[in-house]
Amino acid sequence: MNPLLEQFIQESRDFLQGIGAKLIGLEDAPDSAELMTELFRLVHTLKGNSGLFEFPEMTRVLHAGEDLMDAVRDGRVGYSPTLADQLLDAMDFVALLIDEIDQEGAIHAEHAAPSEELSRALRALIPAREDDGGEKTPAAFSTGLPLPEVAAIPEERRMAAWRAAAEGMPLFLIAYRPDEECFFKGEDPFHQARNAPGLAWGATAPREAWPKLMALDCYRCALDFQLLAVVPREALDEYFRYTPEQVRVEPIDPTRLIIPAGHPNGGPVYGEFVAEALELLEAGDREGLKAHARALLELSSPELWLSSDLRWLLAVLEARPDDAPLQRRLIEALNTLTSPDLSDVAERPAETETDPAAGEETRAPRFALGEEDRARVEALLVTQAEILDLPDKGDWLNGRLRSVAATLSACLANLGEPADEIDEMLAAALEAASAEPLREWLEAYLEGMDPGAAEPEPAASAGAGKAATPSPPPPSQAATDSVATAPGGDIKFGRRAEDAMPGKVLKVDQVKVDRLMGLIGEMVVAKNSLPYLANRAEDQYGVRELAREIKGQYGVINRIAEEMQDAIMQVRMMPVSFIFQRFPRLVRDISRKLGKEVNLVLEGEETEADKNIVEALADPLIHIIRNSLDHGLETPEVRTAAGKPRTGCLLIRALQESDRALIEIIDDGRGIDPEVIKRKAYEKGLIDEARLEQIGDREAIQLIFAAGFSTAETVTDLSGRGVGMDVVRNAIDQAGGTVELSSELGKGTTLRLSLPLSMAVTNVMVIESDRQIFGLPMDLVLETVRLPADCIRTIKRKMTAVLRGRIVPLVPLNGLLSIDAAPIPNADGELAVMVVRVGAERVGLLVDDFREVVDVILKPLPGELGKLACYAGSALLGDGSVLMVLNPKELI
Amino acid sequence: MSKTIFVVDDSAVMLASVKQNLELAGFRVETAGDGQEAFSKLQGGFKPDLIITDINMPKMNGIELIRNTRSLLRFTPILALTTESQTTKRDEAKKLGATGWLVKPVGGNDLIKVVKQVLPGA
Amino acid sequence: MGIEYARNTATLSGLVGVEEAEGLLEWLQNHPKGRLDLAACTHLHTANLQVIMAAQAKIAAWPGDAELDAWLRAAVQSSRGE
Repeated sequence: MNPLLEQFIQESRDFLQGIGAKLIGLEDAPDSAELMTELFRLVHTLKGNSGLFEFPEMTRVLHAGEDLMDAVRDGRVGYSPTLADQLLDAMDFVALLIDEIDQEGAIHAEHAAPSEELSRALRALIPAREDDGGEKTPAAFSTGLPLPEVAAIPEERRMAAWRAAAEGMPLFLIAYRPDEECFFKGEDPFHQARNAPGLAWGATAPREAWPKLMALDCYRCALDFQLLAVVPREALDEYFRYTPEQVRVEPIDPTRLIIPAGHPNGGPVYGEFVAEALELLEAGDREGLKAHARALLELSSPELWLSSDLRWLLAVLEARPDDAPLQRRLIEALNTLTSPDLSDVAERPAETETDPAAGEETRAPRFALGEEDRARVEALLVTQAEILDLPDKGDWLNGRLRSVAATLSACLANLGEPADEIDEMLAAALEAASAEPLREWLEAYLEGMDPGAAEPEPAASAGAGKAATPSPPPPSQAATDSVATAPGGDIKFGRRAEDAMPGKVLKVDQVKVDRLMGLIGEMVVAKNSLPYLANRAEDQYGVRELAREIKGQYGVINRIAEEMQDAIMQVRMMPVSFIFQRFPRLVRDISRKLGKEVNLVLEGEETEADKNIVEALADPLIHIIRNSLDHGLETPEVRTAAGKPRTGCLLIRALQESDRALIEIIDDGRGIDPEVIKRKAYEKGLIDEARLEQIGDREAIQLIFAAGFSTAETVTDLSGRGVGMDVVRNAIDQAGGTVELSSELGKGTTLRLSLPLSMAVTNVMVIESDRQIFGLPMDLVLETVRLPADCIRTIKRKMTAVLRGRIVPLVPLNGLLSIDAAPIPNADGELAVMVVRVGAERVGLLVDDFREVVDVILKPLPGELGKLACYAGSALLGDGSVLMVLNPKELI
Repeated sequence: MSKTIFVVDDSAVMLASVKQNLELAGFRVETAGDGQEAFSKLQGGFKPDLIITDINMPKMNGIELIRNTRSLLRFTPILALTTESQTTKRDEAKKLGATGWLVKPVGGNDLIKVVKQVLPGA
Repeated sequence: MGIEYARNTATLSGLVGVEEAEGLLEWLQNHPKGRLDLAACTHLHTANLQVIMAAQAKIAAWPGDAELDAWLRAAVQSSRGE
């Protein structure tokens, strides 16, 4: 794409955003001359730019918009919500065109018609200027033109057009009413009409009865033209591009051309013919039928209705030999000598054109696997067999079976084979509490495969996940895919206008910044190897001096690396206004649709966070806002009755709190009724009866985040699309964030999203337990203490300790990880306790020892391992070993 | 009888390119380097079958040329040659009597196609 | 190429341009029984076409160009209200 066009696209998106914002600003301040002038300028410049590139469809709409704004600016039209609606629609259309230009470098000709419509709608809002004298009627002009009467077209023209259309060419009726003054613009409409592309027939007639010849003004065009053309629509749009407002082009079904006409003459003589013809048709004897028809045609006068019908029959037999229904109608029509009703045998050329392509698409396998990928998938299958061979261990079995079955299904899907049997085998295995059914099936399957291809790779079991990553991830894995792909990928909430990300904010190609980011991440990890090196220098080689020097250098490199990292982060930072700016429009549209009055307040739009984080926030926030408007805020009547102000308030506030970005969405609506939530959760089977009794109100409302809570009952046009708050929470979780919900019945609801400012590098504390090391995200670690054994008390068989005046439950990490070993105290008999924050609770994790704090790049676990929620991910340490980073939220 | 086309543009390169394309297609071509020069020729009685004029030109710009030409030649087809082509300019040109427009740079085929569309007998 | 006026017949030939329309109209106003010879005509500007239609002029010879012939016959017919 040429750089100018690229720039145009980017600029246009900025302009569109600005236009939207100004329009909504005008709703609150309809008299603001400043906003109006700015709005006019934006539309004007955008229109001007679009002219650079010959996008008449875009320019036309923008031009109409500009004229309308001009009229508003001059005070000829008052600003109104209807007007804003119309303009916003037009801008959505322009945004669509921009997207198309971005993707394909051009605008499809099919947009010409909507472009006409939109600009007409806009122009309809402009009152005629007084000096126009109402003489011209530019608005709503071309659609009102009468189309040609098909029956008036001579039969041979119709037949020729029908033959061409039967070969798949589109067919159009065209009405063309040239401007009266057009001769003075060098136009010759007759020439224009005669030379129209694909012309099959044309005629002209005066618009009105002719005046007396003495009064005729020969230079005022008084003729209308009517055309029948067999040609692609684009060619017509292109041909009439200088005067689209004078032309009406309508597609017609070719069958409509089949109108036998002539003198109604004839009688019972033909009864015999019809019977014989139908017999021949039944027998599929086309040649016989043709000869039969020709014979009668030769005997009959060509002016007769019946001759016309026969000619059509012959034409259909030639061009559409297999269209028996159509042929039958034409034969049967001879009985009545009236035109057959062909509406139900009408063809739709457009559909037949697209059908084959669509069919092919559905037949194509979902993923086309290359040889290499295929081998990898097969290696995965072998690994599954090994897993199934492992000795069964009570509690683990069910989970393991399910996980193997899921992997197998995914593999088969990738190989393009049905996976139905696996479900059966899984059910059998679960029932028998044994891996046997699955194992047998898999063995049989593997035997049936090409032995060479089934050879596992050397590192197949250790790198099972790694092997799976290069092939396209099956859908179930998509959720665990890296967060960077998540925002646009798996969560889609709504309409186009809301989905579309506004233009890039980074003026540098993002790929370049990402590359820097990746490099600095590696650098941070690499520098972490220096302390190891220093230790080795001291312990292994006994050169203390060198060790100290390395440590000194490490300090320097560490500082530079951190600064560098910070600097790169800054480049990637963008203000949340990037997504906030869409909300006024969103809130306006939705509240209008719902008949609610809402005052949207945005705060802290300048708060910055990493681009990925900000983008990841967009969809969840849109969904939250929808929910809030739909379920939270009440209608003005309800609010008034409850003694609240008519207009509800929705506050969206962003702020930075140390290294987290907080987003609060606060409404003063009806709040969430914990009783309703509890009941619904119970009905849905999300909680059992016992829990229903115990659960507190605060806890109860959190149930709206549970998967499967979103109910049919709550589905509306707006928020109900089968996505519930669980999707919101998952999206926020994936971005490393948390969601807190609080609500007071009748007063309102507050959602608090907390997100890391950046997601590239995680600060992790390394701990040791049962001679293994694990990582814990530092932001969850509150403190580390060493507790003498006698400080630990057992209450109701649970270990606790009093720390800083609070009772903190103690949990051995080994127990959580099903490691059969007790925590090891140090030489002084003290136990290592790591106090972590889990939600609002504090929990003490008993571990063997604390190690250092490191910066790591946390990678989500690949493939099936990603379903192990107790791990946040894995990271590579400076010495090359892999650190599993725990996720205490899920673990405890 | 071959048709005569009057091409007006202040860019010598553009003139040469359009002229060459038109001549290859069998038209006779006259040129002028600005609106003033063009208008003088028309005032002198030159009557082309089609005028193709640039919009942004020194002395007399294309918009003015179109306006002025219409007082001399009521019916002659005029195509506005636009580059930066503010569509306002196109619309203005159209309002003042231009028949249509061409967008620079005009390829040979597009040029001839449009010329044939607005010039009967071409 | 254009229009040649004889006593009772106007002969249109080749391409009949827009500027001929005024003359044709005047001639037809003055010669209500004038006849038109279109045999050699290949195209006539809309202005001429509408003059012929409005005057419901008698056609001495239809155009040799088949397409133009079809257009004109239909146009003249429709103008006579047939």
